[in-house]
Amino acid sequence: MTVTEPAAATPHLLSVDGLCAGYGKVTAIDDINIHVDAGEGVGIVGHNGAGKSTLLSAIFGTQQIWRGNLVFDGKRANNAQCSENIGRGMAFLLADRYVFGSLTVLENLDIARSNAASGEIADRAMAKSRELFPRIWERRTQRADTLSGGERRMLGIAMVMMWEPRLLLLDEPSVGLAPALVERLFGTLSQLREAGLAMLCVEQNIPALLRLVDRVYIIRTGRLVGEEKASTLAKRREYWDLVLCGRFSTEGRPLHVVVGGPGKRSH
Amino acid sequence: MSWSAVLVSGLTSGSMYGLFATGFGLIFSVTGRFHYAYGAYFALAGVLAGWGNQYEGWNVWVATAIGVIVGFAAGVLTEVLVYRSFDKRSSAFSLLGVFIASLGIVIAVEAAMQLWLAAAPTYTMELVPYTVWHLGSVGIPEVDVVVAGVSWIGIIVLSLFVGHTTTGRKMRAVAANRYLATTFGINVNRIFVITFALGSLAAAILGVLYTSQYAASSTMGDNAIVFAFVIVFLARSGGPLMWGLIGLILGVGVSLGGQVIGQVWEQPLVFGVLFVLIVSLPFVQWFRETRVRPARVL
Repeated sequence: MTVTEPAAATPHLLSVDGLCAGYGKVTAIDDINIHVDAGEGVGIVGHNGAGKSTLLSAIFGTQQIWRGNLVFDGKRANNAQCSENIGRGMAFLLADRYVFGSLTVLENLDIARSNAASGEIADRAMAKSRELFPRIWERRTQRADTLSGGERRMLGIAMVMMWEPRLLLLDEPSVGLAPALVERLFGTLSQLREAGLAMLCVEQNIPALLRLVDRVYIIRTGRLVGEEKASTLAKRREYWDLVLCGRFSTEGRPLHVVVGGPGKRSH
Repeated sequence: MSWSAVLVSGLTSGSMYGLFATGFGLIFSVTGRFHYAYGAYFALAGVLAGWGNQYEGWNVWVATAIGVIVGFAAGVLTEVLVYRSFDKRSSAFSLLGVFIASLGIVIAVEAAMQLWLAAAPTYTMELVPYTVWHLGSVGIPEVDVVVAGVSWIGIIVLSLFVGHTTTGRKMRAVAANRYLATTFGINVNRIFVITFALGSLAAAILGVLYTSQYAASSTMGDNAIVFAFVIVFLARSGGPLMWGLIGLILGVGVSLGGQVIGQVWEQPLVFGVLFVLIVSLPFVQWFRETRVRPARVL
């Protein structure tokens, strides 16, 4: 059993130390320690209700942080407003209903554009989105709820790219998509990663996730229980133990287990 | 009353209902708040302007400005100081809490108007000179033309604002998905305040116009809010133009219906239509669903 080494001296793009958050009196995540470096892809896996989405929400500012420390780009970002985080270079794509269905494609893009740091950045991002997502652009006058699931996902990505973020938080991007669309979506996300965009991605489709990210954190009942390189995990034939029981083995070698492990969930 | 006069009256009151419902509908659809006090602030603006002009000797424009500002400010302050506090609780509690708070405000504002502005049961002022325009044999009071004109200008301006400005798009985004709007950096509280400001301004202007056209009373908002509710219910997710159009149809319908069955029955007629619609909707839905035949299994 290897204990995770302390955080490196070099500053991370995102650093989360001892984060605790929840709903009412129930603790959803407790003592979470993770980091994401600039340009790095990091995945989070765990069973349903493990607290993965809560972690992303707490990082982005839509969920109150109770304890712990959140540092983004060298600045403390505990309970920062979403607009502040967007301004600092963070973006968040929700698991479902990620576009405004009653607005047209152009109006959706305009909503995102209004938060861009400058008109120049927005114009550049708009041109890039036309190049990356030509099909979305062809349907720019249509209401977003008339697009297919895959097109809506693409529109959601085009919207957040309007801010030229440095860290993209993704909550289950493959949910509700057909396998062919998942491949296409992860292809697009890989392109963005190659262009230098850091990602923190919660995903149940582990094979797809491992092709996208460099490292994976495993969460169980609100606690961080493991961390491993994606390339190591990719050598496995099955991943059920990652999301179900929290006992891990990788061809005889144990995962890097984080100190603490699953504990009681109370506040 | 001749049929043409009834029609003119219906078109005027229908236009007014249209703008009134537009303000109420915007608040309801964007914020999800059932702002029942909307009617009370409409009455407050009208009664204050009429009382000031009639009993305090305020110039008609000063009375108008004070009425509009007070009605507008009351709406905005209600959102900021009262309704927002319910947001910190669960959404189910928030809906009920806002409605109960709104009912309490109606009772308090009406009582305050009756206590402090008790010089007369109704107030009026001549914002628009009482002259009558003639279109052939039909006489149209100038005040009716002004009221209908202002109402439709208001409806069109609000429609353009909501449809073609960045703030308007943000309002529709918040209406579509409040949480998603937050993740796109939209300040939801600010959008709520803007929405309340627009709606309250419409109600306050109409309150003063109503005082000029008819006579203001502390309870005049009670009827108006019922009409607004019916219009917004009928238009479902429609925007300002739809609310305006349905308001116009309802105004003409009620006016003509009142001519046939008597003015006393106008409001029961509106409630009757609403009741029939509410009761019949599940049957219409059931009928539609049963018409979709399942695929034949071979």
